[in-house]
Amino acid sequence: MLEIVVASGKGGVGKSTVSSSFLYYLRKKGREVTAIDADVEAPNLHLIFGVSRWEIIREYKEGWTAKIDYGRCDNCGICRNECPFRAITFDGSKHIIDEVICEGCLTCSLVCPQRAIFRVRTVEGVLRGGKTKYGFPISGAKLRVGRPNSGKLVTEVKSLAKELGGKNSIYVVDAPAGIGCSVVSALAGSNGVVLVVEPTKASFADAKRMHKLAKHFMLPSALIINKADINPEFTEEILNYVRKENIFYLGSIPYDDAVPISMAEMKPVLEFAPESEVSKALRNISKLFEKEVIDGWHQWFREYRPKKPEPYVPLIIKPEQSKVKR
Amino acid sequence: MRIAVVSDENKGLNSTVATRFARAKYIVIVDVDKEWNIKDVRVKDNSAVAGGSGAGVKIVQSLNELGVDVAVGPSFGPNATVALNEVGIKAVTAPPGITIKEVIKIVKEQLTI
Repeated sequence: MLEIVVASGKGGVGKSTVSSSFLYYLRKKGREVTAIDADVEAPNLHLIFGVSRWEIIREYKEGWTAKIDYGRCDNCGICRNECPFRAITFDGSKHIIDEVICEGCLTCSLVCPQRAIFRVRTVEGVLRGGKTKYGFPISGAKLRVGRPNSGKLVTEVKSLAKELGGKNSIYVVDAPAGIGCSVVSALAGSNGVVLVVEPTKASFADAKRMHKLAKHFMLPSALIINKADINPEFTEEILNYVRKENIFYLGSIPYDDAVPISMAEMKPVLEFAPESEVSKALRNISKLFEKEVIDGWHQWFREYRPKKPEPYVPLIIKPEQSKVKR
Repeated sequence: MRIAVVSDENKGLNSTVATRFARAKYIVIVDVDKEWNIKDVRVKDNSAVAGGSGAGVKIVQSLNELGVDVAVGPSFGPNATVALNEVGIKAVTAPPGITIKEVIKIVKEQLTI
């Protein structure tokens, strides 16, 4: 079992295009693969593989929300005044809790003289699992509007994938953008990271932060430069970083309209436009990825793993010591 | 000394190290004496898994309350690393899948150097 995370820090640089190409290429080579779409705020990996029907749909519950028992409520309005989030309104006949605003703190329940307010789990979205027409499993999730991705949700998407994929599969994780909680969860328990960068300052800056996070987890990194020809001078700067930081360089991909058109057709670009420049580049990269990262994982891990731990220390804000004597 | 090992199994000393630190299902608490003999083993549910985020800080909080000296996991996230430092719990990495008995050997090696 091997779990490789495709991440970038910045969004929209080609994580899904790269991960779908890896999955499509490895599958065509007859390998057992499983797709994990950890980008649950904007899930789209399934669209590239044309998945429109899910075999497994499970409710995902995480937070709490307050609920009023109208049999007991006497409309005294104390809860409405005390709610720190102003989530309770009165419509003239009854009090209503706005589920989107409610944080589940239960101040209302505490102050209610009638004990008419209790809490229930909020359904944040659904976990889903299925099979692509290429014959490999895919797992992901879809959130309700206003509900955040979380480390817990990514953990559950990953464990659903493992139920579907089994012990011998190669797992390719399409990570969410950013380097927050959900990305940390995508990295934890994985075996390596593929960074996707485009030659822009924003993408490069975010990729560096992503690489710092990979180093924190003592994971080896590989790097792909996407849309390399839109800014060739900057590409050189990225390559200098790759050499300095001991990252495995997988190659570059040119800009090509075939990518957005293939997405609109709901097909992997390797299948939709196999002779395009971008497909040639993606095939070469996938071939190198299979040889060096998948089959040569032990060697790759030894060579490109950070030599010593480099913890990524987040900003710590400590409250000032109180000077008031008690 | 009190050692906490994260695991997805509730099998006492035969539990194995989980693939995740803060989001593992159980915390196995092992008490060892000065000669590294195992004196006591308890398995606790890890309450940190229930939260959407902040699991790293939450598990360290419960380890601190349990009076743990050494925490063992496959890897530690950024927040967990800082929190462990703050409360003075030593972090020891062990590969996922190995049993608690092997973990104690690793901890012994790491701490006696």
